[in-house]
Amino acid sequence: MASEALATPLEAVAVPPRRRFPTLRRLLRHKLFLVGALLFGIVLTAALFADFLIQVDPNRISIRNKFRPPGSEWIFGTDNFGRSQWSRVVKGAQLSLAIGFGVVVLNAVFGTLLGALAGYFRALDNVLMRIMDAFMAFPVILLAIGITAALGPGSINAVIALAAVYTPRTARIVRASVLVVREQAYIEAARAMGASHARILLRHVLPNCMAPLIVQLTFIFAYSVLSEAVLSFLGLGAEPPTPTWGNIIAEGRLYIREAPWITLIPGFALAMTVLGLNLLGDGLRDVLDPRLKVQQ
Amino acid sequence: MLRYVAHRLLASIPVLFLVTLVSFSLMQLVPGDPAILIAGLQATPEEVERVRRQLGLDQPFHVQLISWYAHLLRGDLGSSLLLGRDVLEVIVERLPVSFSIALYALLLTVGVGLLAGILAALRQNSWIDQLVMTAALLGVSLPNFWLALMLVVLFAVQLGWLPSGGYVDFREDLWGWLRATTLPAVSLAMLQMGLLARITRSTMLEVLRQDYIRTARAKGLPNHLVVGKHALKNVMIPVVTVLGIVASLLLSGSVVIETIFSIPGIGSLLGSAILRRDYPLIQGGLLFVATMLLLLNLVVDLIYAWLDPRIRYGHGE
Amino acid sequence: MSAGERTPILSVRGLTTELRTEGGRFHAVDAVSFDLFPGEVLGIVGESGCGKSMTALSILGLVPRPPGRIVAGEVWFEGRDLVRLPERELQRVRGAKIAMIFQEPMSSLNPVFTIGEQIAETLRHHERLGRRAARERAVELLAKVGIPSPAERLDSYPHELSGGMRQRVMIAIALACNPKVLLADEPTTALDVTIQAQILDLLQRLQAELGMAVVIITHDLGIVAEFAHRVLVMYAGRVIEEGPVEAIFESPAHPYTRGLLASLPDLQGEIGRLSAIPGSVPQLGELGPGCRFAPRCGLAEPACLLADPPLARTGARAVACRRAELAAAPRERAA
Repeated sequence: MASEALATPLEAVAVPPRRRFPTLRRLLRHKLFLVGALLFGIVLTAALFADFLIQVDPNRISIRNKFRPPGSEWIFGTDNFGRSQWSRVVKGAQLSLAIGFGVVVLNAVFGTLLGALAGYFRALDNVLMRIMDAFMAFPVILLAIGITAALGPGSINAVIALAAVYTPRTARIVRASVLVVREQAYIEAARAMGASHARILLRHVLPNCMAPLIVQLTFIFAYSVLSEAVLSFLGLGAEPPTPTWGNIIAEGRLYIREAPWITLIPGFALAMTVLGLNLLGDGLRDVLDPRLKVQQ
Repeated sequence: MLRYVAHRLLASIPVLFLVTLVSFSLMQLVPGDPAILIAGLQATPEEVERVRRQLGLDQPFHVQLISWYAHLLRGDLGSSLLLGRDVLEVIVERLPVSFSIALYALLLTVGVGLLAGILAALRQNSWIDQLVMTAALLGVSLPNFWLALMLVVLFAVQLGWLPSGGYVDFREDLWGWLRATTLPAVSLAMLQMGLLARITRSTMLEVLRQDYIRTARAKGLPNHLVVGKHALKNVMIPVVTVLGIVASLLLSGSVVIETIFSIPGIGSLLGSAILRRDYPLIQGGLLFVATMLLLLNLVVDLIYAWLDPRIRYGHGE
Repeated sequence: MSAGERTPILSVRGLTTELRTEGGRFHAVDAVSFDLFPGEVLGIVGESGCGKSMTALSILGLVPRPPGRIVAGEVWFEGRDLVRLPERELQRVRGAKIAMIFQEPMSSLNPVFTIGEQIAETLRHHERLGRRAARERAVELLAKVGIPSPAERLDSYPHELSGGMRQRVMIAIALACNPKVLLADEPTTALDVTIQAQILDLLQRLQAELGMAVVIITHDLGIVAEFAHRVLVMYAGRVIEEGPVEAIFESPAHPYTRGLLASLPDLQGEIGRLSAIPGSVPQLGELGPGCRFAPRCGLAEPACLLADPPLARTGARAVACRRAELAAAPRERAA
């Protein structure tokens, strides 16, 4: 068919060649990126292999072992119920990262969808952007707690709430890229050749918007982990006794004098995760495009 | 400039409308029967019914919506279930508390963050730069509530220099207010300081690369004029826009920080409202906060437009 | 006029500026030497990347510090070596005694200050004029560079002016303190053709009026022919030919110069192919030990690739080429 025959050479011109290897090499030379990868890698490993790393059940109560400090017997010590903090913090890693990942995936899907639609179809732009602006008018945590208050506590609701909160920001980034790419000559060429809007969007526009999106999603992962901790600190995340870093800190707050390690350790874990992700994001941004500006 | 102002004002109106709509919808999100959740599991059917009627939940959707807007236009944000008082009244009462701490945090943010960012840019790649950027990175990555707890342990428990909680009205005792609000303000400001330092540094570096800076040096102007006059004004313009984000983050952070330090502000009000499912208070509180932020962002945009002559005076030729 | 008769106002000796990039370190300006005499216009020509702009920046110590720095050489002005001058002293020279204008008028003016302010601050700083006096002088300067309604224009912002007007403002700023030397780095390259002619006229007029020495840096031989008295030809960071404009155009000595002149389209002659110099400008990191132009030179011998020929002077002319005598035949038309 004539259109098929034309499609192939056009695409060879229209889609810029993937430069995966030089970019990867530059990433691996970026010192801070590597530090971030290391930090996050440690947490990720703990989360993925949590079930192998934990020997004691995180919810097992053992009153005679209460308030044991970190040491050779209990790696991270125990809390007021004698529960192993090592088990709880490692298990918490699993949940925190899972929630962060969930938010990122939802952001990727809906943020890209909304941003692409808004950037590409001028008619939709105004409406969609006003709605996004309305959501962004609420401070992040407040909107998140508003939504979780309505939906009820729990991890899934936290994911939904945080996804709803951060998606407008992602959509904005995607929209900005789409607006720029849309004006490129090869898009016009594709349109002149009769490619449908869907094809243009999927094949030509979106692949060129990947860089800022990837950077943004990395930072969103970081913010989600942090925000989820705040939510569970306030009692809105996973229900106790399920351990999340936020609610471990909240519980440990009462015993901060006798057993400061309960509060300290999950905080360090959080810091390490968020720091690692921030460094990864910075590194990606430096390598992919140093002039990117990221939405908070 | 006038056209820009008019355009911005007009653009805000649909957003404001949508904000009110979103606030209203939150109540509709509640799965199951909110009346039962509020009245409690032990409540009798009559009590549940009473709650339902009180909140207008027995009405059809469109009636609720109209009623919501009718109340809004009268300035009535509803009545708190657990406090039994007007939502707006409670919020306004607590406003000076949160506002004073937010202002303190903002001063810290701008004072420290801005200067640190400029310093880091001027001494790029030196140890000062590395130090500032590391500190900024930590500020952005450390959870503020955890940091608050650490500060409490250090300054209140171990050293005993500052109180671990409570609030003192600045009108009665300024020094007491300062002591009570320092730890909360610092905890709140950490994230913002880091953010501002990073953005200021990158903006400054960008500006210093510009041709007009080279021209300023070629004119023989001394460094303090090149940086302090020519570069700085260009840096301030984009930095001003960050202040809008900073304000939003301050409000976000205040929920947790005020709760930890037992400060009777809007943040802790919303925090406890959430836990106690005081829906009218949650709705009204969120609407109030979002509206305030919208207005603030509008002001920030207008300041930005005023500062940048390219927008203020439009396009010449 | 031969070089020995007058004392130069600016004397550059062996100026070498190093640039550090990801690819390595190399000399963007390599042992450049020349004299500038009072009241004369010296053109510096060469292709992009040959080091001509960097030379001007090096004279004023404006080389961007992280990637570049001056590693050798002297720049003598008013009895002092500018290269070794402390920054504070150098600032007194810049803008006041030696001024510079740049290529991109669009971005060379600060967008957030009025043009009046940008002119006046030079006057306030260097000549210690008060606000009102500086403003008045600024109006005079704007009039002198041909800006209509100068008093009203004083409070305009750069974005309200066209490219040509902005360049006039740049010139006004440069001339504010009656400098002895003006360094003009491709002042017309970014402008429309008709505006180019206007700005060039302006520069010529002002130069004659004020008796300034001007260094005009350009890749456009036409500008050199019209405006300059002497010309310096640069290639890959080195000066490869120097001499009075008429002499160089009439009988270029260096094969590169011959190539440049031959590649100019001839409006009177027959229509034929434009001749171009084969090959391309070498990467500065990949230079061999010999003459830098040798790989592209039609007259090159094996000896040319072994050692870089020094700049040899004969009277008013100088050339860095061992085949120079042979190449000194009058310019031939392209076949």
